[in-house]
Parts: sequence; C-alpha cells; structure tokens
Amino acid sequence: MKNNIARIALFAALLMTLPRQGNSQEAQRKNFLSCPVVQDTKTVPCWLSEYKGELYYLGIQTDISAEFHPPYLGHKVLVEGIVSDEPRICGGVVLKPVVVSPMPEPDSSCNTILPALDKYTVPFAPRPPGPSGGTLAFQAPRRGPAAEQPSTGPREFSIYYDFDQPVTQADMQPFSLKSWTMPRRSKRNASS
Amino acid sequence: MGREIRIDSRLKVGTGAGGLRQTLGWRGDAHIYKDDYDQPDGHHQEPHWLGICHSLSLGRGQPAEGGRVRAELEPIGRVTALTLSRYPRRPSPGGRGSAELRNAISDFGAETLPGLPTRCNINTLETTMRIRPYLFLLTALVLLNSSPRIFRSAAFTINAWWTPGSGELIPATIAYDNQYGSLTMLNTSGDVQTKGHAFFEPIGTNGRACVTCHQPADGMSISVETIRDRWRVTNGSDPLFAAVDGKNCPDLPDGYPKSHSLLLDKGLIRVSLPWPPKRPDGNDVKPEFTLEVVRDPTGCNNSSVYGLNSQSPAVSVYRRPRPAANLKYVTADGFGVGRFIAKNGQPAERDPETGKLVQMNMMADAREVSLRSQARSAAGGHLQLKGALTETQLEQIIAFESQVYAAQTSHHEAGNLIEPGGPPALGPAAMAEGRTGVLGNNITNFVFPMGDKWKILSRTGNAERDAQRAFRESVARGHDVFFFRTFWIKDAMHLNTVGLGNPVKRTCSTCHGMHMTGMDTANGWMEVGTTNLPWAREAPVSPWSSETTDLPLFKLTCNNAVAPHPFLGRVIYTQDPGRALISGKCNDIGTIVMQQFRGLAARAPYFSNGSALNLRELVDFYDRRFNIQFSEQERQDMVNFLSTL
Repeated sequence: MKNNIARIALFAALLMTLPRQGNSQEAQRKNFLSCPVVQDTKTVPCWLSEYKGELYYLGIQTDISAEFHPPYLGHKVLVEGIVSDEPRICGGVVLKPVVVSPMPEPDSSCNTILPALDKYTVPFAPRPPGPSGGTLAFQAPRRGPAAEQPSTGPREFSIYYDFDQPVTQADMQPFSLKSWTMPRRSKRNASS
Repeated sequence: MGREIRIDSRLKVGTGAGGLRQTLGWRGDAHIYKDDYDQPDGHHQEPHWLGICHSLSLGRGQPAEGGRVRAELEPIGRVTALTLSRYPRRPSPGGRGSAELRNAISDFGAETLPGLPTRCNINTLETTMRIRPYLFLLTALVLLNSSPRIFRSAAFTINAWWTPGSGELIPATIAYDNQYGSLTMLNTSGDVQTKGHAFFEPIGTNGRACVTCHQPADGMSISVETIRDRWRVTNGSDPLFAAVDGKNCPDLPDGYPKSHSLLLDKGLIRVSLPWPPKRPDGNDVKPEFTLEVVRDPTGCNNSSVYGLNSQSPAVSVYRRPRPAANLKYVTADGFGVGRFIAKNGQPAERDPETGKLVQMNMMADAREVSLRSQARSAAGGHLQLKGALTETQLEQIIAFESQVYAAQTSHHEAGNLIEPGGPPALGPAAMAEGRTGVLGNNITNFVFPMGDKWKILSRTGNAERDAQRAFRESVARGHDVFFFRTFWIKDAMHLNTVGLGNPVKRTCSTCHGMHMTGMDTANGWMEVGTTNLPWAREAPVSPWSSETTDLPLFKLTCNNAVAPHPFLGRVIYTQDPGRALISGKCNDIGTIVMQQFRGLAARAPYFSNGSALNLRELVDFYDRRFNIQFSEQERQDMVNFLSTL
C-alpha cells in the first residue's frame, strides 16, 4: 500500500513537473510584435523592445556584415528570440538568438530614442559609430582552398529575409560572392 | 589669335580703386591680356601685356607705402581674377592703385616667395616678359612640355566660356578662376585638340556641343553664374538656351528670361522621361504607383504636346548637369558593385554591349549604363543630333571624358592647395592618380585623405600668413566634421534600409563614402529629401509671402499590392521622383544618385534640383534634415572644407 501511495505520489509529482518544464521552455521563447527602442550610449546605440512591461535587448548598431540588422523606428518589429541568462545590456533582457523583422506598414508611434546614460556601455562593440578601422565589424574569414563538393545530389541553402519583404542584396550574400554582407533575420530554408 | 572674352571687373588695390574694362585674348601657349579701353584724352590704348593672379600678396617689393601691398578683386559676376599691369593706367582715385602695384611687381621680379599661390609666379613671369622675354618663353616651354605633376605647381589661368566649335587647343593643364579661388582641369593624355572633336563641336542641329553644359571653367559642369553670363552676353541667343531643354517648356515664347527661368535661376535643364517608364527593350515598366500633377508652373507636364496626356506621354523634371570629369570613379566597378543592386536586391544592370556589370552611378537616376549610352542619349536629346553618333565620335567623347580630371587647386584664403606636403586628396593630379572603387569610410583609406599637416599650424606673427594658416586649420576641422561628426541618419531610403537600421548613428561619410569623390561606392541612389516633401525646398505658403515655387510638384500614390514606402507611406509629394521614373518602384520615389564632391567651388548651385544656391545652404539642408545641430563653427568649417575640393 505504502508502495502504491508512493508510486501515485511520484506519478502525480511527475505530472505536475512535466507541464512546468514545458512552460519554462516556452517562457524562454519570446515572440512578439512591438515598437523598437533606441538606447543611445557613448559609442554605438543599443536596440531594445518593450513587451508586457519588460525591456528586451535585441542588439547593437554595427554594420551590414553583422548577423543582427537593426529594425526601423517608424515601424513595429516582429521579435523572435530566446531569453538568455546573460547579464542585461542597456537595461534589456538579452534575447539570444534573436531575429527581428520590421513590419512593412509605417507606425509613427514607434519613435523612441533614449539619450545616452553613463550606466549603459557597450565595450564589446566591434566598430565605432563613425568610420571603421578598415575592416568590417564581422569580417568574413579568409577562404582557404575550396573544399571538394559533390557534383550531384541535394544541397541545402539558407536564405534570410525580412517578414513579407523582398530579398535584398544583403540577403543574397551567399550567392553574390561578396564578403561584406551576411545572411540575417527570418529564416526560410530552400533546397536545390 | 583665338577667341576674345570680355571681363567686367573692378580692381581694388590697397586704398586706391580703379575701374578696368578689358578683353582677354589667347595667343600661343600663354594667356596674354590686352587692354582696350580708351584713355581719358580719347586716345585708344594699344594692347599691352598684362599679368593675372587671383590673390597676390607681395612682401618683398617695398612699394611706395614702404610695406605690404595686398591686392584682391572685388568681383562683379563670376570673375574673381585680379588683373595687374606693369605700366601706368589712367589715374586711380588718390593716385594709387595699379601704379603702386607696378612698382611692387617691378621690384618683385621673377623670383618666387614661398607660401604664395604659385600661379602668381606665372604672373610674375608674364610681367617680366618685356624685360627678359627669352626667360619667359624658355620657362613656358619647359612647363608646357613637362609632366602634369609639374603643372601642379604652375598653371595658367583664364576665365572663359568655351564656345562649341572654337577649335582651340586645351592645354594639358589649365586653371580657371572661381569665387573661391581657382579650379584646374588636367588632361592626362596631354593637350587636347578640339577642332573636329565630337565633345567640342556642335554636332547636333541646335548649335550645342557637349562642352556647352560641361564647361572646363565650371569643373565640367555649368554654374548658374556662367549661365546668366551667357544670357547677358548673347541676349539669350546662345545655343545653351535651346528650346528643347533650355526652356522651362519648349513651347514657351522665345527671348524671355521667364521662359528660361529654371535654367537662369537654378541652372536646371529639362529632362523629359517617358511615362510609364520604358525598359531598355522598349517595353513598358508597370509602375507601382500612380502619378498626378499637383503643380505645373512650367506648363510642360500638363502640355498637350509635351505632357503626361500627350501622344507620347512624358514627365518633365528639371536637373543640374553633372560634372563630366573624374569619371573613372563614376564608372568603376569595385566595392559595392555586384550582381544585385545593393539598395533593393534587384538584379544589377549590365552593359548590353560588354555584358559587364555596371556601377549605376551615372546620371541623377542611373538610367544610363555606360559613357557610350550616355553620349548617345545626350547627343540625340540635348544636342538634337539627327541620326546617331559615329563610332569615331563616340570614341572621341569617351576618350576625352575618361582622361579629364578637375579639382580646386587654389583658394583665396587657403592659398595653394597642391603645394608639396599638403593635403594629398586635393587637386586634379591626385584625382588622376587615385584608386577607384574603394570604400573610404574608414581610417585606412579615408574618403578625402587630408593628412595632418593643416590640423595645427604655428603662427608666424605675419597677419596674412597667420590668416591663411587659420583658414587651413578650419579646412582640416571641416574634414573632421565630415568624417567623424556623428548624428542620427534617419528615414533615408536605401541607407537605413540596407541593414544599418533606422536611425543609424553615423557620419556624412557613411553615405558619401567613395574614396576621393564622396559618392556612394554602391549603386548610389538614396532619398534624403532633396526633392521629396516635407524636406524639399518649397516656397512658404502664407498670406505674407508672394514667393512661389517654380518647380513642378507631383503626387505619387503607391498601390496596395506593394509595401508602402517605409518612411513616407503610400502617398508622396515630390518635385522629382528620381530613380522611380526609371524603375517604377515605390521605394525609389525621390531617390537621386549622389554626386561627386570635386570642383564644388566652380559649379553652384547644388543638389539635382539646384535647391542649394551655395555651400552654406547645402550644409544647412543636412543640418535641418537630420537635426544635426551643427555649431556655427562646424558649419563654416564644413563650407571651407568643401570649397577646397
């Protein structure tokens, strides 16, 4: 009897635990539509977005070689990200990984630029707000000799582009053979 | 003898002042000035040799005052050259003036003073000619047969309208005065014989040549001051004012300045583009927007002959002629030129004749893919050439355009801009030697490499030299404002949308990033509001103002099948839809290909619609547009910097 009670108790506890684990994972994922916010710093600005009373950190301004391409003021942004355990940046909970995609329709309510504050710094910024030091923020590694590729068979490519927007030059980086652009944002897979 | 050009000028020398009316002639390889005024007693003054220098400061001559002679021209119109003579003229008020200068130059002799504008040395040689003609001729021959680099420090000067078909020789290096100093045109292929040359001959039916709107004195563009001069000198009969595009609309009455007001007031040429746009294969582009005429002050867009409802529907917009110099940068296919247009992801244009990708940085709307296609279009349109350019003519035009460089070389306040050890970006030789297709928005290449020499200059105690040094420091600061001064670049189509975000905290050189020119290295059309409302310059609408805007205004409505313009929405008012008149794209409305910064001093006004009448207005536009909040010092430094390019 005691064993049965113990088993029932264990099973009940397990049942209670499982949904919690699922909720916990779900709680880490944040998908929302909100206004982007610029938090200036002494160097480059941070990009934030507020959702349900919490401020989330999306990324910083660098250049077009970055995987994170900042959103647009004047438009809401679709944010899809996972809450990380990293310390807050510019006051925002860090979402990593994160993809952002500006909505096509203008929204004049998205117009917040917060002035620089001493407490917010971005020492990890790979380039200053002005001219670069001569390299892109995320310079593509030099390519070695081309690896042998199968001449036939399926190959997979990832093409990133903004929500409901045309593919741009930056999106087409893998095909344009330019080292100064990187794929980004919402991901679609295509096979050929 | 070549053509004769009249200069109206007023000479101010020291405390004296006198009036001069001169004709300027050209003989052989040197510019020679002859005086044609009548003496007070009625005797006609025989021609004499004269010298020319746009800013002369003699510290060694010990003239009558026992000190320095400072001479400068008080300009009327565009002429800013100081013309000196070494013999007495009619008495000037107070008995001083040119006679005083004569003494000064006499004492000055053929020697040079360090730090003076080197063109004054030529002046000195010319004035010495009567004494030691062999010395002058020998020196002239040496200079004319030397490399362009030598001409960096010695150039002749002339204020000239280049008349189509004049048949004169253009020397390898030739300098022209402008309001800030002088600009030098460098022909890297050496002297150019213009007789029979397709760029210089009136090969069309209206008397124009390419040179009509691409004047050497104006940095191979044309300034509004030059245009007004031509109107005054020819009473409006110059082919420059041809009805086809030199009038606000071809059917306006002849001979009235009002019929040419956009050309006379803002230097604008009418550009008629088919509506809807045509693909290169002749098929229509289906535009993403409708186009309505809201305001038509020229009458051309509502004209039953030339307008949107004519048999050949067309849109008339009004644009400044672009400089036909330094073109190796405009046509280069380096950084930023790829298979896709960096701005919108569309496939990049290819030159149908070569199959090569093209930079798409030519013309305000990038509608021409090559110098060849541009020459053909311009000959048929602006020159009204019947038939087609021959292959020989095409080669002549392109060969000339590909070897000509123009940049400011002397500045009234900064002095010689190309002296050894000076800023390496300045002057046409630097342009000729510069690398193309290079992104300069970094501290390894720089957009305009200026070096450090002018950053901090010690003072000498000599007021004039210290003034020059202070000005040079201002130029250096102006460069740094251009290159390092951050501000929020916001709502700029094809800049904020390429992955940088909106806004982006950057600098002027973020957009104007091409090494040596300040153009865009990528396909260069952007929208910053020079032609689109609300930022475009418009006359204020108020009961207290009688001013009216003389440019047309269009209402463009993007259809619901496409995304709205990200920063302007679906309904956009514009004076010129720019690239959208070619691509038919909603997000191209009002985008204009940015221009090179070189020779700015010689070719005001600025922006494609001539809306910035001077460099200060140009700087002020950006300050207003992006809320930069330049200090007064920063504004002046920027103007000073731009005036030296």
